[in-house]
Amino acid sequence: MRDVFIIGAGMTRFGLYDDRHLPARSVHELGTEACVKAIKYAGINHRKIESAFCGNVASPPSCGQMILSPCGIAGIPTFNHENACASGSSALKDAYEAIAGGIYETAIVFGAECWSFLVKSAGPMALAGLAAPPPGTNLNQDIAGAFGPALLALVGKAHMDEYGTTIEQFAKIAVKNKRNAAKNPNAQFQKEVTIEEVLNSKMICDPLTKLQCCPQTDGAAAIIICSAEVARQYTTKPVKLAAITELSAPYKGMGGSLSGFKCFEDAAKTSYELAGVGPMDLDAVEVHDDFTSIELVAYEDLGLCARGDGGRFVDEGLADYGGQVVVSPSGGLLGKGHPMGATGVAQIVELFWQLRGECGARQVEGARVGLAHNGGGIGEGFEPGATTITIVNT
Amino acid sequence: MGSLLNKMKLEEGEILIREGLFTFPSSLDDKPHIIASKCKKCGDLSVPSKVFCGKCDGTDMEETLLSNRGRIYAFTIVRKALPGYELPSILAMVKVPEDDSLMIISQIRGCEIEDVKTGMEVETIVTELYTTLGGKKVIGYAFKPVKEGE
Repeated sequence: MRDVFIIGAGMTRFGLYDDRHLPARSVHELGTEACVKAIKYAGINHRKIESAFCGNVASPPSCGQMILSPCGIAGIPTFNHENACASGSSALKDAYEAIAGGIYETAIVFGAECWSFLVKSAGPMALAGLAAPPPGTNLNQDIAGAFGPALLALVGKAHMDEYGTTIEQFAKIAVKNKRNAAKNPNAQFQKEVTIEEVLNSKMICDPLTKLQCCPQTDGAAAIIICSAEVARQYTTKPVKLAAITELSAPYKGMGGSLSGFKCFEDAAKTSYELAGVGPMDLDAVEVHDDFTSIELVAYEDLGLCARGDGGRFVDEGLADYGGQVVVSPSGGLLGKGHPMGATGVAQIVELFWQLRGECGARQVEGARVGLAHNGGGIGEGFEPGATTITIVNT
Repeated sequence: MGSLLNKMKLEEGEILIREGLFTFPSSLDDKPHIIASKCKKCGDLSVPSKVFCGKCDGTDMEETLLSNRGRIYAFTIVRKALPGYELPSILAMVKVPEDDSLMIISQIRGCEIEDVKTGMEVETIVTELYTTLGGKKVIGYAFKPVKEGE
């Protein structure tokens, strides 16, 4: 296996492209914008891109090909990945292995999602159809009648019961991430919130209030990755993709506890080992904070603190600027937004910019090592069906 | 929060949430039971049943009935659900005495929202879980609090 580098990154503004918030655009237009930005950033000619990997959950077939067509990219191996909220990082994992294994010299990895476009083209039932398959499709969802927030609420409750974590500690994560988002021009939310606003927002599933749940988002993100030889032709500051691990949840997860995720712990251990770094070496971490409970638990799963110490980690500001490591500098899913197929790629876009010192007001000083934590769907032990941990460094 | 009487069999307009998931009580004195698969090699229990063992390399599985009792490990109140569900509802992860690593996701019925507690002892019931868009009642298992003396 040889080294793999990132030489370019681009993304659209995240938000709702529904003509009410932002001008209506299709998933393909959004994807094309992100790809063109990444290609231009890298300074590579589009015809030099040898392979393409697209993350998308809900769009019609051949999403990646449609996105690349206006970019003049065709006649190359092109793959579409669906792995729920981890689709983008799953696309990256396959692209990474193809380049590390010497199959291709270059790849474009991108993700795109546009809920507003789906609603416009197929009506609200387009979303209902995705969220509510007919009975018998997903047993646990049929029993519960609800999933995402309800399950992550149970994770939060289990953590509160086992370790005495408080609702305020969860709420502080939303405050931090929305503060970071307010410094990110690409983020869906551009406004800071107070802890009172978070706690007093509508209760979705105890202990998760509305401002502790990620929004519905449209958007796209793209990166260009390549071998060391190619990277040298385009930049003197390449960012290395040091490790990427993707796993399905292990059977029975934590083995009788919901207060952590064994899948993330396992994937992180493997990626730390492959990259030759540990949790204390990290400067910037993008986590899959679709709900505040998952970010708090992620501090522990990733080894940033001991099991049960997530609440203290929040209270002491250790996941914030000036702390031990900056978590979700982009604003995360809670602040930047969560266009499912794009999220895993957008996390890498942020880390790439952070490691190159291009993040302006939200720059993590001297960032050299970054980690992305991306999970999607439901698997064994009520853990994510797909988990990806990626480590990048300069 | 729905009928607490155990259903004894499927009636007109009702469908099972899934075949092979639980047994109906055979009489008014009988209790329903959730069906688990048990690995003959390592003894691991799984709900719903598995064809091969998820814990070891065992391929020989047998069907076993859980005891009907469990305890609430964690719960939340669901205020917004897919169409066809009664709201608000209590959603819980229930642990059973047979295997501490086995968690069963379930609605809690027969309990006011302010009365539900972590650690509460519950028993399996067979009841209507929701109504499909086509108007069919979907029958499955839920849990209800065990009353003192029961």
